[in-house]
Amino acid sequence: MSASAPAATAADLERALLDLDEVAVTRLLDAGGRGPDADVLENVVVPALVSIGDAWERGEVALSQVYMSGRLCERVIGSFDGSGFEARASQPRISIVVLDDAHILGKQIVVQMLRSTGYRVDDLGARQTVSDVVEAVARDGTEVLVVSVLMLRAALAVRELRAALTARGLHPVLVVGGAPFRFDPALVDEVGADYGGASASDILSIMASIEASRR
Amino acid sequence: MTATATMTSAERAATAMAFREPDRVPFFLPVTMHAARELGMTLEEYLADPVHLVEGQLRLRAKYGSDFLYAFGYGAIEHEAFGGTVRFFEDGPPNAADVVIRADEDIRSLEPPRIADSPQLLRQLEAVRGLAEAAAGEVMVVSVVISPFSLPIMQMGFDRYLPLLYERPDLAERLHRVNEEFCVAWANAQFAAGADAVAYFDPVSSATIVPHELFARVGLPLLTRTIARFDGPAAAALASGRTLPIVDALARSGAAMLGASNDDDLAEVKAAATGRITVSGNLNGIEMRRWTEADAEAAVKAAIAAAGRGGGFVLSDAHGEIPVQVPEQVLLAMRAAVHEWGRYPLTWLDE
Repeated sequence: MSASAPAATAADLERALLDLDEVAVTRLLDAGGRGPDADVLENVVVPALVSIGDAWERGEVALSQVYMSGRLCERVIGSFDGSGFEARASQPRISIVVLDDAHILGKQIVVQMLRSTGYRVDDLGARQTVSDVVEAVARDGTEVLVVSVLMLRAALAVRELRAALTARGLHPVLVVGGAPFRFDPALVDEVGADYGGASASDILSIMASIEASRR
Repeated sequence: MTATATMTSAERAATAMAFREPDRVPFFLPVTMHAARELGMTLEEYLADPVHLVEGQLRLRAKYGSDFLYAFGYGAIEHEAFGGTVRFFEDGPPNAADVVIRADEDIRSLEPPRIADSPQLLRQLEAVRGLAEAAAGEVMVVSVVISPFSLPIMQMGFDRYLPLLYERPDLAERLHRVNEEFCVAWANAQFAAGADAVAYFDPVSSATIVPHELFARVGLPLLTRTIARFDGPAAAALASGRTLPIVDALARSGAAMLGASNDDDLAEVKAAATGRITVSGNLNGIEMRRWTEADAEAAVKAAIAAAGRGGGFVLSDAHGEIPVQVPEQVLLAMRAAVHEWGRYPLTWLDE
Protein backbone atom coordinates (compact mmCIF):
# COMPACT_ATOMS: atom_id res chain seq x y z
CA MET A 1 0.00 0.00 0.00
CA SER A 2 1.51 3.34 -1.01
CA ALA A 3 2.01 6.15 1.49
CA SER A 4 -0.22 8.40 -0.59
CA ALA A 5 -3.28 6.14 -0.16
CA PRO A 6 -3.74 5.84 3.64
CA ALA A 7 -6.04 8.82 4.37
CA ALA A 8 -8.76 7.64 1.99
CA THR A 9 -8.37 4.04 3.10
CA ALA A 10 -8.74 4.96 6.78
CA ALA A 11 -12.07 6.56 5.91
CA ASP A 12 -12.98 3.45 3.94
CA LEU A 13 -12.14 1.27 6.93
CA GLU A 14 -14.14 3.49 9.23
CA ARG A 15 -17.16 3.24 6.96
CA ALA A 16 -16.79 -0.53 6.58
CA LEU A 17 -16.50 -0.97 10.35
CA LEU A 18 -19.55 1.18 11.09
CA ASP A 19 -21.45 -0.75 8.43
CA LEU A 20 -20.29 -3.99 10.09
CA ASP A 21 -19.19 -5.10 6.63
CA GLU A 22 -16.81 -7.94 7.43
CA VAL A 23 -16.01 -8.61 3.78
CA ALA A 24 -14.96 -5.02 3.18
CA VAL A 25 -12.98 -4.83 6.43
CA THR A 26 -11.11 -8.00 5.57
CA ARG A 27 -10.31 -6.71 2.10
CA LEU A 28 -9.06 -3.41 3.43
CA LEU A 29 -6.80 -5.04 6.03
CA ASP A 30 -5.57 -8.03 4.07
CA ALA A 31 -1.98 -7.96 2.87
CA GLY A 32 -1.69 -11.26 1.10
CA GLY A 33 -3.35 -13.11 3.97
CA ARG A 34 -0.88 -11.87 6.57
CA GLY A 35 -2.96 -9.03 7.82
CA PRO A 36 -2.01 -5.41 8.37
CA ASP A 37 1.62 -4.39 8.65
CA ALA A 38 2.95 -1.52 10.75
CA ASP A 39 2.16 1.05 8.06
CA VAL A 40 -1.46 -0.07 7.79
CA LEU A 41 -1.84 -0.23 11.57
CA GLU A 42 -0.56 3.30 12.07
CA ASN A 43 -2.05 4.98 9.02
CA VAL A 44 -5.31 3.10 8.51
CA VAL A 45 -6.45 1.18 11.57
CA VAL A 46 -5.48 3.70 14.24
CA PRO A 47 -7.02 6.72 12.51
CA ALA A 48 -10.16 4.75 11.65
CA LEU A 49 -10.70 3.67 15.26
CA VAL A 50 -9.81 7.09 16.63
CA SER A 51 -12.26 8.67 14.24
CA ILE A 52 -15.02 6.34 15.39
CA GLY A 53 -14.24 7.17 19.00
CA ASP A 54 -14.21 10.88 18.27
CA ALA A 55 -17.54 10.54 16.48
CA TRP A 56 -18.99 8.98 19.63
CA GLU A 57 -17.69 11.88 21.69
CA ARG A 58 -19.42 14.27 19.31
CA GLY A 59 -22.64 12.26 19.55
CA GLU A 60 -22.50 11.18 15.90
CA VAL A 61 -22.26 7.46 16.56
CA ALA A 62 -23.57 5.37 19.44
CA LEU A 63 -21.66 3.21 21.90
CA SER A 64 -23.11 0.06 20.35
CA GLN A 65 -21.54 1.05 17.05
CA VAL A 66 -18.18 1.67 18.71
CA TYR A 67 -18.35 -1.72 20.40
CA MET A 68 -19.54 -3.70 17.39
CA SER A 69 -17.06 -2.07 15.02
CA GLY A 70 -14.21 -2.63 17.45
CA ARG A 71 -15.27 -6.23 17.90
CA LEU A 72 -15.28 -6.73 14.15
CA CYS A 73 -11.90 -5.09 13.73
CA GLU A 74 -10.31 -7.20 16.44
CA ARG A 75 -11.86 -10.37 15.04
CA VAL A 76 -10.68 -9.69 11.48
CA ILE A 77 -7.15 -8.76 12.53
CA GLY A 78 -7.01 -11.81 14.76
CA SER A 79 -8.03 -14.04 11.87
CA PHE A 80 -4.83 -13.34 9.96
CA ASP A 81 -1.59 -15.18 10.65
CA GLY A 82 0.16 -11.93 10.04
CA SER A 83 3.14 -10.02 11.32
CA GLY A 84 1.54 -6.67 12.07
CA PHE A 85 1.98 -7.17 15.77
CA GLU A 86 5.72 -7.27 15.34
CA ALA A 87 5.50 -3.51 15.03
CA ARG A 88 4.80 -3.38 18.75
CA ALA A 89 7.66 -5.62 19.86
CA SER A 90 9.02 -2.86 22.07
CA GLN A 91 5.75 -1.89 23.68
CA PRO A 92 5.41 -1.44 27.42
CA ARG A 93 3.69 -4.19 29.41
CA ILE A 94 0.04 -3.17 29.48
CA SER A 95 -2.64 -4.47 31.82
CA ILE A 96 -6.29 -3.50 31.89
CA VAL A 97 -8.79 -4.05 34.65
CA VAL A 98 -12.27 -3.15 35.82
CA LEU A 99 -11.73 -2.11 39.42
CA ASP A 100 -14.30 -3.39 41.92
CA ASP A 101 -16.99 -3.11 39.30
CA ALA A 102 -18.71 -5.55 36.98
CA HIS A 103 -19.36 -3.25 34.03
CA ILE A 104 -16.94 -4.51 31.39
CA LEU A 105 -18.09 -2.88 28.16
CA GLY A 106 -15.67 0.05 28.36
CA LYS A 107 -12.78 -2.32 29.07
CA GLN A 108 -13.77 -4.54 26.16
CA ILE A 109 -13.76 -1.59 23.80
CA VAL A 110 -10.33 -0.45 24.98
CA VAL A 111 -8.99 -4.00 24.59
CA GLN A 112 -10.39 -4.04 21.05
CA MET A 113 -8.67 -0.73 20.29
CA LEU A 114 -5.33 -1.91 21.65
CA ARG A 115 -5.30 -5.37 20.08
CA SER A 116 -6.55 -4.08 16.75
CA THR A 117 -3.61 -1.70 16.61
CA GLY A 118 -0.93 -4.24 17.43
CA TYR A 119 -0.67 -3.93 21.20
CA ARG A 120 -0.56 -6.92 23.49
CA VAL A 121 -2.58 -6.36 26.62
CA ASP A 122 -3.10 -8.46 29.74
CA ASP A 123 -6.78 -8.45 30.57
CA LEU A 124 -7.09 -8.79 34.34
CA GLY A 125 -10.88 -9.01 34.14
CA ALA A 126 -13.55 -7.37 36.24
CA ARG A 127 -14.53 -7.14 39.90
CA GLN A 128 -10.87 -7.01 40.87
CA THR A 129 -10.09 -5.51 44.25
CA VAL A 130 -7.27 -3.10 44.94
CA SER A 131 -5.15 -5.89 46.41
CA ASP A 132 -5.89 -8.16 43.42
CA VAL A 133 -4.65 -5.49 41.07
CA VAL A 134 -1.55 -4.70 43.09
CA GLU A 135 -0.59 -8.38 43.13
CA ALA A 136 -1.15 -8.65 39.39
CA VAL A 137 0.95 -5.57 38.67
CA ALA A 138 3.76 -6.91 40.84
CA ARG A 139 3.53 -10.36 39.26
CA ASP A 140 3.38 -9.18 35.66
CA GLY A 141 5.71 -6.20 35.79
CA THR A 142 2.92 -4.00 34.46
CA GLU A 143 4.23 -0.72 33.10
CA VAL A 144 0.92 0.76 31.96
CA LEU A 145 -2.18 0.02 34.01
CA VAL A 146 -5.51 0.93 32.42
CA VAL A 147 -8.43 1.09 34.86
CA SER A 148 -11.98 1.18 33.52
CA VAL A 149 -14.98 1.90 35.74
CA LEU A 150 -18.65 2.80 35.45
CA MET A 151 -19.55 3.42 39.08
CA LEU A 152 -18.41 6.51 40.98
CA ARG A 153 -17.43 4.42 44.00
CA ALA A 154 -15.05 2.40 41.80
CA ALA A 155 -13.58 5.59 40.32
CA LEU A 156 -12.86 6.88 43.81
CA ALA A 157 -11.20 3.56 44.68
CA VAL A 158 -8.47 4.35 42.16
CA ARG A 159 -7.04 6.72 44.78
CA GLU A 160 -6.63 3.77 47.12
CA LEU A 161 -5.16 1.73 44.28
CA ARG A 162 -2.54 4.38 43.53
CA ALA A 163 -1.59 4.58 47.19
CA ALA A 164 -1.33 0.78 47.46
CA LEU A 165 0.84 0.55 44.36
CA THR A 166 3.14 3.25 45.64
CA ALA A 167 3.41 1.62 49.04
CA ARG A 168 4.48 -1.54 47.28
CA GLY A 169 7.11 0.33 45.28
CA LEU A 170 5.17 -0.06 42.04
CA HIS A 171 4.81 2.89 39.70
CA PRO A 172 2.98 1.93 36.52
CA VAL A 173 1.62 4.69 34.36
CA LEU A 174 -1.99 4.84 35.52
CA VAL A 175 -4.64 5.47 32.86
CA VAL A 176 -8.30 5.76 33.86
CA GLY A 177 -11.51 5.91 31.91
CA GLY A 178 -15.25 5.49 32.24
CA ALA A 179 -18.37 7.52 32.81
CA PRO A 180 -17.38 9.14 36.14
CA PHE A 181 -14.20 10.53 34.59
CA ARG A 182 -16.13 11.74 31.57
CA PHE A 183 -18.75 13.53 33.65
CA ASP A 184 -16.12 15.00 35.99
CA PRO A 185 -12.67 15.23 34.37
CA ALA A 186 -11.26 16.67 37.59
CA LEU A 187 -11.56 13.17 39.05
CA VAL A 188 -8.53 12.06 37.01
CA ASP A 189 -6.14 14.23 39.00
CA GLU A 190 -8.07 13.71 42.22
CA VAL A 191 -7.50 9.97 42.21
CA GLY A 192 -3.84 10.30 41.23
CA ALA A 193 -4.06 8.97 37.69
CA ASP A 194 -1.56 9.98 35.04
CA TYR A 195 -3.97 10.01 32.13
CA GLY A 196 -7.74 10.02 31.70
CA GLY A 197 -9.63 9.05 28.57
CA ALA A 198 -12.95 10.63 27.66
CA SER A 199 -13.60 7.89 25.15
CA ALA A 200 -12.11 4.46 24.56
CA SER A 201 -10.19 5.57 21.47
CA ASP A 202 -8.27 8.08 23.58
CA ILE A 203 -6.18 5.07 24.68
CA LEU A 204 -4.37 5.19 21.36
CA SER A 205 -3.19 8.79 21.71
CA ILE A 206 -2.40 8.13 25.36
CA MET A 207 -0.26 5.14 24.43
CA ALA A 208 1.51 7.22 21.79
CA SER A 209 2.22 9.86 24.43
CA ILE A 210 3.47 7.27 26.91
CA GLU A 211 5.75 5.65 24.34
CA ALA A 212 7.09 9.03 23.22
CA SER A 213 7.96 9.90 26.81
CA ARG A 214 9.86 6.64 27.18
CA ARG A 215 12.10 7.26 24.19
CA MET B 1 -52.01 31.42 35.28
CA THR B 2 -51.70 33.27 38.56
CA ALA B 3 -49.45 31.21 40.81
CA THR B 4 -51.12 29.95 43.94
CA ALA B 5 -49.16 30.95 47.03
CA THR B 6 -49.63 27.71 48.91
CA MET B 7 -49.46 24.93 46.37
CA THR B 8 -48.82 21.42 47.57
CA SER B 9 -45.95 19.60 45.95
CA ALA B 10 -48.43 17.50 44.00
CA GLU B 11 -50.21 20.60 42.70
CA ARG B 12 -46.89 22.18 41.81
CA ALA B 13 -45.78 19.12 39.85
CA ALA B 14 -49.13 18.68 38.13
CA THR B 15 -49.23 22.32 37.08
CA ALA B 16 -45.73 22.18 35.66
CA MET B 17 -46.50 18.96 33.83
CA ALA B 18 -49.56 20.62 32.31
CA PHE B 19 -47.14 23.16 30.80
CA ARG B 20 -48.19 26.00 33.06
CA GLU B 21 -46.05 27.88 35.53
CA PRO B 22 -46.82 26.91 39.16
CA ASP B 23 -45.64 28.90 42.17
CA ARG B 24 -42.06 27.72 41.69
CA VAL B 25 -40.06 25.19 39.74
CA PRO B 26 -40.72 21.68 41.07
CA PHE B 27 -37.64 20.02 42.54
CA PHE B 28 -37.03 16.28 42.35
CA LEU B 29 -34.06 15.14 44.41
CA PRO B 30 -33.62 11.37 43.92
CA VAL B 31 -31.69 10.59 47.09
CA THR B 32 -31.84 6.89 47.82
CA MET B 33 -28.59 5.93 49.53
CA HIS B 34 -28.48 9.09 51.65
CA ALA B 35 -31.53 7.74 53.47
CA ALA B 36 -29.51 4.87 54.92
CA ARG B 37 -27.02 7.34 56.37
CA GLU B 38 -29.86 9.47 57.68
CA LEU B 39 -31.14 6.45 59.59
CA GLY B 40 -27.68 5.40 60.74
CA MET B 41 -27.73 2.00 59.05
CA THR B 42 -26.01 0.19 56.23
CA LEU B 43 -27.54 0.41 52.79
CA GLU B 44 -28.31 -3.30 52.88
CA GLU B 45 -30.14 -2.88 56.19
CA TYR B 46 -32.03 0.11 54.81
CA LEU B 47 -33.18 -1.82 51.75
CA ALA B 48 -34.12 -4.94 53.70
CA ASP B 49 -37.14 -3.42 55.44
CA PRO B 50 -39.76 -1.25 53.70
CA VAL B 51 -40.33 0.61 56.95
CA HIS B 52 -36.79 1.96 56.65
CA LEU B 53 -37.30 3.14 53.09
CA VAL B 54 -40.52 4.93 54.00
CA GLU B 55 -39.03 6.59 57.06
CA GLY B 56 -35.82 7.48 55.26
CA GLN B 57 -37.49 9.06 52.28
CA LEU B 58 -39.93 11.03 54.43
CA ARG B 59 -37.05 12.38 56.52
CA LEU B 60 -35.06 13.33 53.44
CA ARG B 61 -38.00 15.07 51.85
CA ALA B 62 -38.47 17.11 55.01
CA LYS B 63 -34.77 17.97 55.01
CA TYR B 64 -34.12 18.64 51.35
CA GLY B 65 -37.51 19.77 50.13
CA SER B 66 -38.05 17.46 47.18
CA ASP B 67 -41.47 17.86 45.59
CA PHE B 68 -41.66 14.11 44.95
CA LEU B 69 -41.34 11.00 47.07
CA TYR B 70 -39.00 8.50 45.44
CA ALA B 71 -40.21 4.96 45.97
CA PHE B 72 -37.01 3.43 44.64
CA GLY B 73 -34.74 0.97 46.38
CA TYR B 74 -32.37 -0.32 43.72
CA GLY B 75 -32.61 -1.28 40.06
CA ALA B 76 -31.02 -4.70 40.47
CA ILE B 77 -34.13 -5.77 42.39
CA GLU B 78 -35.55 -6.80 39.02
CA HIS B 79 -32.45 -8.89 38.36
CA GLU B 80 -33.15 -10.66 41.65
CA ALA B 81 -36.72 -11.28 40.56
CA PHE B 82 -35.35 -13.12 37.53
CA GLY B 83 -33.20 -15.29 39.80
CA GLY B 84 -30.02 -13.24 39.87
CA THR B 85 -27.93 -12.23 42.84
CA VAL B 86 -26.99 -8.76 43.93
CA ARG B 87 -23.87 -7.35 45.52
CA PHE B 88 -24.34 -4.58 48.07
CA PHE B 89 -21.91 -1.75 48.74
CA GLU B 90 -21.82 0.94 51.36
CA ASP B 91 -20.78 3.66 48.99
CA GLY B 92 -22.77 2.93 45.87
CA PRO B 93 -25.91 1.32 44.52
CA PRO B 94 -26.27 -2.47 44.59
CA ASN B 95 -25.16 -4.15 41.37
CA ALA B 96 -26.05 -7.39 39.66
CA ALA B 97 -23.43 -9.92 40.77
CA ASP B 98 -24.04 -12.47 38.03
CA VAL B 99 -26.01 -13.05 34.85
CA VAL B 100 -29.24 -15.00 34.62
CA ILE B 101 -28.94 -15.67 30.90
CA ARG B 102 -25.79 -17.77 30.70
CA ALA B 103 -26.22 -18.84 27.09
CA ASP B 104 -28.12 -16.91 24.43
CA GLU B 105 -30.33 -19.91 23.71
CA ASP B 106 -31.54 -19.78 27.33
CA ILE B 107 -33.72 -16.90 26.16
CA ARG B 108 -35.99 -19.38 24.41
CA SER B 109 -37.07 -20.84 27.75
CA LEU B 110 -37.04 -17.61 29.77
CA GLU B 111 -40.33 -16.68 31.38
CA PRO B 112 -41.30 -13.52 33.27
CA PRO B 113 -41.12 -14.04 37.03
CA ARG B 114 -44.23 -13.65 39.18
CA ILE B 115 -44.14 -10.70 41.51
CA ALA B 116 -45.67 -12.81 44.27
CA ASP B 117 -42.64 -15.11 44.12
CA SER B 118 -40.12 -12.33 44.80
CA PRO B 119 -39.72 -11.31 48.44
CA GLN B 120 -37.70 -8.31 47.31
CA LEU B 121 -40.45 -7.04 45.02
CA LEU B 122 -43.08 -7.62 47.69
CA ARG B 123 -41.01 -5.57 50.14
CA GLN B 124 -40.72 -2.82 47.58
CA LEU B 125 -44.51 -2.79 47.16
CA GLU B 126 -44.85 -2.36 50.92
CA ALA B 127 -42.57 0.64 50.66
CA VAL B 128 -44.69 2.12 47.87
CA ARG B 129 -47.83 1.63 49.97
CA GLY B 130 -46.19 3.25 52.96
CA LEU B 131 -45.06 6.28 50.99
CA ALA B 132 -48.44 6.64 49.27
CA GLU B 133 -50.19 6.55 52.62
CA ALA B 134 -47.86 9.16 54.05
CA ALA B 135 -48.15 11.32 50.92
CA ALA B 136 -51.93 11.52 51.34
CA GLY B 137 -52.28 13.06 47.89
CA GLU B 138 -50.11 16.06 48.69
CA VAL B 139 -46.94 14.80 47.00
CA MET B 140 -46.47 12.53 44.00
CA VAL B 141 -44.96 9.11 44.69
CA VAL B 142 -42.62 8.02 41.89
CA SER B 143 -41.65 4.38 41.45
CA VAL B 144 -39.16 2.84 39.03
CA VAL B 145 -39.14 0.08 36.45
CA ILE B 146 -36.27 -0.97 34.20
CA SER B 147 -37.32 -0.99 30.56
CA PRO B 148 -37.53 -4.31 28.67
CA PHE B 149 -34.94 -2.84 26.29
CA SER B 150 -32.43 -2.06 29.06
CA LEU B 151 -32.96 -4.88 31.59
CA PRO B 152 -30.86 -7.30 29.47
CA ILE B 153 -27.75 -5.35 30.49
CA MET B 154 -28.14 -6.97 33.91
CA GLN B 155 -29.63 -10.21 32.64
CA MET B 156 -26.74 -11.07 30.31
CA GLY B 157 -24.13 -8.32 30.39
CA PHE B 158 -23.73 -5.39 28.06
CA ASP B 159 -20.99 -7.07 26.03
CA ARG B 160 -23.29 -9.97 25.12
CA TYR B 161 -26.49 -7.99 24.76
CA LEU B 162 -25.23 -5.63 22.09
CA PRO B 163 -24.22 -8.43 19.70
CA LEU B 164 -27.59 -10.06 20.40
CA LEU B 165 -29.36 -6.91 19.22
CA TYR B 166 -27.38 -6.85 16.00
CA GLU B 167 -26.91 -10.54 15.24
CA ARG B 168 -29.83 -12.39 16.85
CA PRO B 169 -32.88 -10.14 16.50
CA ASP B 170 -35.08 -13.21 16.93
CA LEU B 171 -33.73 -13.90 20.40
CA ALA B 172 -33.65 -10.21 21.24
CA GLU B 173 -37.32 -9.91 20.38
CA ARG B 174 -38.23 -12.86 22.57
CA LEU B 175 -36.21 -11.45 25.43
CA HIS B 176 -37.91 -8.07 25.04
CA ARG B 177 -41.36 -9.71 25.00
CA VAL B 178 -40.63 -11.58 28.23
CA ASN B 179 -39.27 -8.44 29.84
CA GLU B 180 -42.24 -6.42 28.62
CA GLU B 181 -44.67 -8.73 30.41
CA PHE B 182 -42.69 -8.44 33.61
CA CYS B 183 -42.29 -4.67 33.28
CA VAL B 184 -46.01 -4.11 32.78
CA ALA B 185 -46.91 -6.34 35.71
CA TRP B 186 -44.33 -4.67 37.95
CA ALA B 187 -45.32 -1.14 36.98
CA ASN B 188 -48.99 -1.84 37.50
CA ALA B 189 -48.36 -3.53 40.84
CA GLN B 190 -46.64 -0.35 41.95
CA PHE B 191 -49.51 1.79 40.64
CA ALA B 192 -51.93 -0.43 42.53
CA ALA B 193 -49.82 0.08 45.65
CA GLY B 194 -50.22 3.83 45.31
CA ALA B 195 -47.50 5.10 42.99
CA ASP B 196 -48.58 8.18 41.06
CA ALA B 197 -46.01 7.79 38.29
CA VAL B 198 -43.33 5.39 37.19
CA ALA B 199 -39.86 6.26 35.94
CA TYR B 200 -39.16 3.97 32.99
CA PHE B 201 -35.38 3.56 33.14
CA ASP B 202 -34.18 3.04 29.60
CA PRO B 203 -30.55 4.06 29.02
CA VAL B 204 -30.19 1.73 26.04
CA SER B 205 -32.74 3.81 24.11
CA SER B 206 -30.54 6.89 24.40
CA ALA B 207 -28.48 8.16 21.50
CA THR B 208 -25.40 7.50 23.65
CA ILE B 209 -25.96 3.76 23.50
CA VAL B 210 -27.74 2.84 20.24
CA PRO B 211 -28.05 4.58 16.87
CA HIS B 212 -31.33 6.16 15.94
CA GLU B 213 -32.14 3.38 13.50
CA LEU B 214 -32.00 0.74 16.22
CA PHE B 215 -33.95 2.91 18.66
CA ALA B 216 -36.63 3.62 16.07
CA ARG B 217 -36.89 -0.02 15.03
CA VAL B 218 -36.73 -1.69 18.44
CA GLY B 219 -36.50 0.58 21.49
CA LEU B 220 -39.22 3.07 20.60
CA PRO B 221 -41.96 0.58 19.66
CA LEU B 222 -41.13 -1.37 22.80
CA LEU B 223 -41.30 1.76 24.94
CA THR B 224 -44.52 2.97 23.35
CA ARG B 225 -46.23 -0.39 23.63
CA THR B 226 -45.05 -1.05 27.18
CA ILE B 227 -46.02 2.26 28.76
CA ALA B 228 -49.37 2.22 26.94
CA ARG B 229 -50.17 -0.81 29.11
CA PHE B 230 -49.31 1.01 32.34
CA ASP B 231 -52.13 2.04 34.66
CA GLY B 232 -50.53 5.45 35.15
CA PRO B 233 -48.10 7.95 33.65
CA ALA B 234 -44.49 7.14 32.87
CA ALA B 235 -41.36 9.23 32.62
CA ALA B 236 -38.68 8.16 30.15
CA ALA B 237 -35.49 8.21 32.24
CA LEU B 238 -32.41 7.63 30.12
CA ALA B 239 -29.96 7.51 33.06
CA SER B 240 -27.38 9.97 31.73
CA GLY B 241 -27.90 8.94 28.12
CA ARG B 242 -28.14 11.61 25.43
CA THR B 243 -31.76 12.63 24.96
CA LEU B 244 -31.91 15.50 22.45
CA PRO B 245 -31.81 13.34 19.30
CA ILE B 246 -34.92 11.43 20.42
CA VAL B 247 -36.99 14.17 22.07
CA ASP B 248 -39.48 14.18 19.22
CA ALA B 249 -39.93 10.41 19.39
CA LEU B 250 -40.32 10.46 23.16
CA ALA B 251 -42.87 13.25 22.91
CA ARG B 252 -44.96 11.08 20.61
CA SER B 253 -44.47 7.91 22.65
CA GLY B 254 -46.96 8.69 25.39
CA ALA B 255 -44.32 9.38 28.04
CA ALA B 256 -45.23 12.28 30.30
CA MET B 257 -41.69 13.33 31.06
CA LEU B 258 -38.14 12.78 29.84
CA GLY B 259 -34.82 13.19 31.61
CA ALA B 260 -32.09 15.34 30.06
CA SER B 261 -28.46 14.25 30.43
CA ASN B 262 -25.28 16.17 31.06
CA ASP B 263 -24.42 15.63 27.41
CA ASP B 264 -27.56 17.48 26.37
CA ASP B 265 -27.98 21.23 26.04
CA LEU B 266 -30.87 21.64 28.45
CA ALA B 267 -32.25 24.69 26.65
CA GLU B 268 -32.32 22.80 23.35
CA VAL B 269 -34.08 19.84 24.95
CA LYS B 270 -36.66 22.16 26.52
CA ALA B 271 -37.20 23.99 23.21
CA ALA B 272 -37.83 20.71 21.42
CA ALA B 273 -40.09 19.47 24.21
CA THR B 274 -42.11 22.61 24.93
CA GLY B 275 -45.80 21.94 25.19
CA ARG B 276 -45.31 18.25 24.34
CA ILE B 277 -43.42 16.51 27.13
CA THR B 278 -42.09 17.70 30.48
CA VAL B 279 -38.31 17.88 30.90
CA SER B 280 -36.42 16.96 34.06
CA GLY B 281 -32.74 17.48 34.74
CA ASN B 282 -29.95 17.97 34.32
CA LEU B 283 -27.75 18.62 37.33
CA ASN B 284 -24.44 16.71 37.23
CA GLY B 285 -24.48 14.23 40.12
CA ILE B 286 -20.82 13.28 39.63
CA GLU B 287 -19.53 16.84 39.82
CA MET B 288 -21.99 17.59 42.60
CA ARG B 289 -19.74 15.70 45.02
CA ARG B 290 -17.21 18.53 45.01
CA TRP B 291 -19.52 21.49 44.55
CA THR B 292 -19.36 24.42 46.90
CA GLU B 293 -22.63 25.99 47.94
CA ALA B 294 -21.97 28.69 45.37
CA ASP B 295 -21.46 26.03 42.67
CA ALA B 296 -24.77 24.43 43.63
CA GLU B 297 -26.60 27.73 43.42
CA ALA B 298 -25.01 28.52 40.06
CA ALA B 299 -25.97 25.12 38.64
CA VAL B 300 -29.55 25.45 39.83
CA LYS B 301 -29.82 28.97 38.37
CA ALA B 302 -28.37 27.83 35.05
CA ALA B 303 -30.82 24.96 34.76
CA ILE B 304 -33.81 27.12 35.64
CA ALA B 305 -32.64 29.76 33.17
CA ALA B 306 -32.34 27.13 30.47
CA ALA B 307 -35.62 25.34 30.96
CA GLY B 308 -37.83 26.97 33.57
CA ARG B 309 -39.91 29.34 31.49
CA GLY B 310 -43.42 28.23 30.72
CA GLY B 311 -43.55 25.29 33.09
CA GLY B 312 -42.95 21.84 31.65
CA PHE B 313 -39.78 21.56 33.71
CA VAL B 314 -38.77 19.73 36.87
CA LEU B 315 -35.33 20.49 38.31
CA SER B 316 -33.50 17.26 39.02
CA ASP B 317 -30.26 15.45 38.39
CA ALA B 318 -29.24 13.91 35.07
CA HIS B 319 -29.13 10.29 36.15
CA GLY B 320 -32.00 9.45 38.50
CA GLU B 321 -29.97 8.80 41.64
CA ILE B 322 -27.76 11.18 43.58
CA PRO B 323 -24.42 9.57 44.56
CA VAL B 324 -24.11 9.05 48.28
CA GLN B 325 -20.79 10.96 48.15
CA VAL B 326 -22.66 14.23 47.56
CA PRO B 327 -22.47 16.09 50.88
CA GLU B 328 -25.47 17.35 52.78
CA GLN B 329 -24.51 21.00 52.44
CA VAL B 330 -24.68 20.71 48.64
CA LEU B 331 -28.17 19.20 48.79
CA LEU B 332 -29.28 21.93 51.18
CA ALA B 333 -27.76 24.56 48.91
CA MET B 334 -29.75 23.20 45.97
CA ARG B 335 -32.92 23.37 48.04
CA ALA B 336 -32.20 26.97 48.98
CA ALA B 337 -31.36 27.89 45.41
CA VAL B 338 -34.55 26.47 43.92
CA HIS B 339 -36.56 28.43 46.47
CA GLU B 340 -34.56 31.59 45.79
CA TRP B 341 -34.41 31.41 41.99
CA GLY B 342 -37.27 29.11 41.08
CA ARG B 343 -40.23 31.32 41.99
CA TYR B 344 -42.40 32.01 38.99
CA PRO B 345 -42.63 34.13 36.89
CA LEU B 346 -38.79 34.02 37.07
CA THR B 347 -38.49 37.82 36.71
CA TRP B 348 -34.77 37.67 37.42
CA LEU B 349 -34.28 36.23 33.96
CA ASP B 350 -35.35 39.56 32.48
CA GLU B 351 -33.04 41.67 34.65
